[in-house]
Amino acid sequence: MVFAKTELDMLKKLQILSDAAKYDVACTSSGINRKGRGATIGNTLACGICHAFSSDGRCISLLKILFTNECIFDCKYCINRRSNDVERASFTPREVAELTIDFYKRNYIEGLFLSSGILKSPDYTMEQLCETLFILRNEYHFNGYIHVKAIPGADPLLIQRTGFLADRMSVNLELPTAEGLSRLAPNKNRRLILKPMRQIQLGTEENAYRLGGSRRQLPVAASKDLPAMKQEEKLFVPAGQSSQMIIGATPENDYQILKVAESLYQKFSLKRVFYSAFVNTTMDSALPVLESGPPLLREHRLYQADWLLRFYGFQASELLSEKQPNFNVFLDPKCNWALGHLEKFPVEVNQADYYTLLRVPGIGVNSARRIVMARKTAVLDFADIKKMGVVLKRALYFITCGGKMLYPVKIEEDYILNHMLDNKEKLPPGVGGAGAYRQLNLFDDFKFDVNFAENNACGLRG
Amino acid sequence: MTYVYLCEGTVDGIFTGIYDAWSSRLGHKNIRIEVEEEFYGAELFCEYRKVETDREKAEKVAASIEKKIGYEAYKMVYRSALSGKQGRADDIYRFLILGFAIGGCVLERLSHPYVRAVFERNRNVIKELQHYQGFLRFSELANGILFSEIRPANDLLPLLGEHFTDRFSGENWIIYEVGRKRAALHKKGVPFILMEISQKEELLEKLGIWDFSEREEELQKLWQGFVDSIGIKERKNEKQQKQMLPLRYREFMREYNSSGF
Repeated sequence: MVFAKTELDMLKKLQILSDAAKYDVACTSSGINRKGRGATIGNTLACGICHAFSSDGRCISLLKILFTNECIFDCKYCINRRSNDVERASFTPREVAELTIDFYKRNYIEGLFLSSGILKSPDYTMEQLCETLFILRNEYHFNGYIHVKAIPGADPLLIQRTGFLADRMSVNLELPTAEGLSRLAPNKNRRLILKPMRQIQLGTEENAYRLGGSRRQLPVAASKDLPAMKQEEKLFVPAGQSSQMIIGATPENDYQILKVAESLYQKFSLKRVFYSAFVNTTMDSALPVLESGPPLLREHRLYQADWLLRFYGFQASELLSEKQPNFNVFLDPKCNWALGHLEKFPVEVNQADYYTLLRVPGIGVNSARRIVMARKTAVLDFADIKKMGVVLKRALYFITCGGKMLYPVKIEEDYILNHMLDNKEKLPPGVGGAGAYRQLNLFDDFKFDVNFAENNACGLRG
Repeated sequence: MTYVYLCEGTVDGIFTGIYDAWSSRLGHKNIRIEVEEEFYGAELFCEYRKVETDREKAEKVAASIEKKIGYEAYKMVYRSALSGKQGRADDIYRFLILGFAIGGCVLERLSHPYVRAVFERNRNVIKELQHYQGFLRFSELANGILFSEIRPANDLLPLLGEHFTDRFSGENWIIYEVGRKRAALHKKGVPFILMEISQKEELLEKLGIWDFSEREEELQKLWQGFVDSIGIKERKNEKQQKQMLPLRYREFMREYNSSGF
């Protein structure tokens, strides 16, 4: 007798459901320090740990899987849309928990990143996710990192319960504007996405009171080193929430996207916003066809700008404007800003304050901090700051040490541009060097080809 | 005349060397501290003195670093002592001369060559430690012990032992460092110990175990399947992969070199 094979074996299932989850970018394990504890397995580190790197160069930190790809929604950009013909599979909560523990014990992963298609209804799906986390935390005593999606439209009580089991939660904004969303994802709407986001935000703000004792007055962000999770001291989404947007599926410009990200940081206190270069998997007629592949350079520039928003004290309106709504292909956002504000340069390394230093191209958060520290006791020279991590080939146009510049350079936009592009970052073939700024002529044949594989740094890490 | 103190390569050894050198009152500029394994032959016009590692002296040095310069500096010095690059003992000695003279603010003087040397060692050790915290792979032996091999440039075993003791306090695990021929052994619920072991086979023989557990191969296949399917082929970028995960880390990562058992 021959039975139809109904049960997929684990390997097949894992392949289907990790393949389905790979377009989700938020694979970070950062944001919370939690020590290991007697009867549990695992701990977490605030810096996050990368455990492997996939063939596309992105970090693998968590076991990133969908709970199911049997989705009832029909979002046009999504490979798992109802009308798409792909293999379908679902895990059971116990399978996910067991796999997580087995992988964790071998140090393959930092924890679990559980996302899901909508199975039956948002409530049912959320319940399954919650159940998985409950088993993992309470039966397998897993004390490592868990990132879980909040399903828009699910009961707030379910999200609340899940939040106390997870470290980080995220709700995907999917597309930067509400119009884009209603056009490409007919089953989703902006209001339903923002609601759980707000709920999570309010929940994490209450953590300050849950901690009790001496920490009561402190804002959550200040209580860095948390003790191991005790039953009575459970925190709600202690590592904060994140979100992601798909870039390039809808016609929004960089300025709009960055504005949205900025308001998410300010109004919803998100920890991270992720940008995911659109990969056309469904070939729907409503979607753009990207001949040169996913817009990786654009994604890269957005990540660079995102860093400037979060760590460098920049505002979206400083980097871009209505008049100039897209990032420069050739220059990173900070260089671009500096070239537009040459009146503020050069700055004296030995005197400029921390935030002024941060705005110098070639000086990052670490090197700025080191400079501020080291100049208390010594007058710094170019050789010193180079050792501290300053990228001189970029910074040299914008700084002086002891009143002198490294080379006699002109502080002039074209001059600096030409020099930077001559010996600067690896540009992709086709958008090379000085060509960018040479005069256009009638027979110009160079293409602005933005197929950019090389310059896509690991913007996906915590 | 230069006096060279030859000490053992352990943290205790280096600290003892520093203690002896300091208390010899020969003048700091006439003294050099070297680690035995870095000693390739005597130089002219040098007097060599062998340092007997003495736990008590080492503890005294450790305590006074903590007291006079601070815990942060102690951690930095400790990690520098695990550094794999040549000349660590002397770098630490120079740093401490300055540190004991000016106290905690020595950490701020990043442009000073003595401070920079220790700072860079410290940074290098931390970097590699973070990599190994992620890239180390355990395989389960037939009796449930988790076994792992590494070959780091710096002497990371004590630091990794600490990390995994916190993480897997309820497991039995072994990390064997192939290069330095040492192992960190951890038994459920007790602190880990370090042990000199000349060969992996010797270790396995002592345990009486040769095979991996039944589930091990299956799980490695599952993991391999996961790693393969999680990459987006439209974004393939092996150069970046190599940059983020250099080949030297992949020696014992089976998902990248499926040489099998």
